[in-house]
Amino acid sequence: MTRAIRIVQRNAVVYRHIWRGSLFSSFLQPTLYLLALGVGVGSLIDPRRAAAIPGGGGYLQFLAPGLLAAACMQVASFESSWPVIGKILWARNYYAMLATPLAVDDLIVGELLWIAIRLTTVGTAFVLVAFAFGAMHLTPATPVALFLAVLTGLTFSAPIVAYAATLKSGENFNVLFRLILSPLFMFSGVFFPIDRLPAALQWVAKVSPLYHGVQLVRGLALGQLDPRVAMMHLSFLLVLFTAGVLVARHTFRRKLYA
Amino acid sequence: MVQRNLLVYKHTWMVIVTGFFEPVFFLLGIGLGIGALVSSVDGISYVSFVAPGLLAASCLNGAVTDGCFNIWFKLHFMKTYDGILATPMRVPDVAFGEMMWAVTRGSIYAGCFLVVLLVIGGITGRPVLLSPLAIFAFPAAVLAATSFSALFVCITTFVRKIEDFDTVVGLAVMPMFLFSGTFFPISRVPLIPRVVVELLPLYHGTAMLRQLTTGTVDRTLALHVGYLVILGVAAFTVAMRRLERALIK
Repeated sequence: MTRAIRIVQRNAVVYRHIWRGSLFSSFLQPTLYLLALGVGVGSLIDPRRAAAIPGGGGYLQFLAPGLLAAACMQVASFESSWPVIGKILWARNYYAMLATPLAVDDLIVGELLWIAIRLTTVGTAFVLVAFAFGAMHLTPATPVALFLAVLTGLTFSAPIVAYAATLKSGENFNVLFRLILSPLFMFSGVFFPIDRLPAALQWVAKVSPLYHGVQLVRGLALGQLDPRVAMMHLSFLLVLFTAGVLVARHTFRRKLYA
Repeated sequence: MVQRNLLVYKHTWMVIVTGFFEPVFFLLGIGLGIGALVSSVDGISYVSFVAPGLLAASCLNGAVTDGCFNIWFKLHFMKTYDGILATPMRVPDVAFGEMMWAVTRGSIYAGCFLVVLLVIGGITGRPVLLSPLAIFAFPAAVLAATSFSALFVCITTFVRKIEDFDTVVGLAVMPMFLFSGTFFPISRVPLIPRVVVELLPLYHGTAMLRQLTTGTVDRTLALHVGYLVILGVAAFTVAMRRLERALIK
């Protein structure tokens, strides 16, 4: 497994050249959302109805941990789609890598490890910005919340990486992003509690990994996480992540050893 | 040119369909979800407030995908235009054709979105479109879509590397989307950034459509329409000149 570190090193070397472009999507975008929706729309919220916001804080404090998990989802999804399919279909880096002592498992572990590192940096930056806005407090629970947000991102990464290895062109990603990820972004309780949704959509939210991630991260950030409920959310995420990794092992083998 | 694009889109129609869903998701999520927490904005319900903003934003979105990425690819990557110019087509034909295609697409989006608004109003029993003037929101949205398309085609002619679109989208499109009065009135923005917002195209699109759908039309409507017309014509003229230079060597 130490070989997987080579993949991380390789990605880090590439990233040194392209970090400027990704600065926006990974960091500036959630910050702008926080400002526009948290501060802007938050100021429109009727104080009489504010009691409906869980957590007892303002809308900004409710939104910030949700956006942290959502930002991890977005960065993770992006990093596991185009870059991965590119290394399979277009630049074909994986074929080159497999000609070295690296094995398929090293590729998967290496890519996921790299994504985890990216998510940790993005998340840390976001937490600091949210702290500066007064949207989040820094407590001993904050690193745990950050870790759970990273895990939320990885539960998206693993299945998307697996999916990327089954595709013949990148167009399917547009459909994935617009028809699956953007509704999940909207309806997973990031912007408002899901009990506001019609019953059918609440069920959709409950199978969304983002919903479970948001519940965990928000619960920790607001200091009101029930350990038993937390275990349920956490096991959902871990099961999905593990399933994603197993499927990825399968699809990678089929694609790369064919 | 329009026929050619139509022919290509027969194969990738999913992309068009999904482009229409995006504002609908935002409408349901932000409008109805957060709307439940907001009692009213300037005297109207939050859904009614946010809907015209999302309509304008979807015009912008369409202009970016069709105007930026597709045209850049045809220009630099696939060299489609070089192929087309080997036929009796000339650069103005190409430019007008692409614009007409953008207008067609924008009209489809705008029309569908307005129908969705009517349907939502029908289902919930609380109309989203508050005024009969909303009929004019359709041509107005087409105007906005045209003007934005011209602008982004124009910007595209200046973009050399595909990575630079990250900068365009990141520093221009996203902030414009979030702060042009789409989600909250810009009267909430401090004075200096507000002046900047008022100079941006999306603000004028949003303000124009909001006046029409909520029936709060006043003299500033002419200003917004005028801004979009001038922007569209100017951007198209520049884009045409740049395309001539890029394609005819």
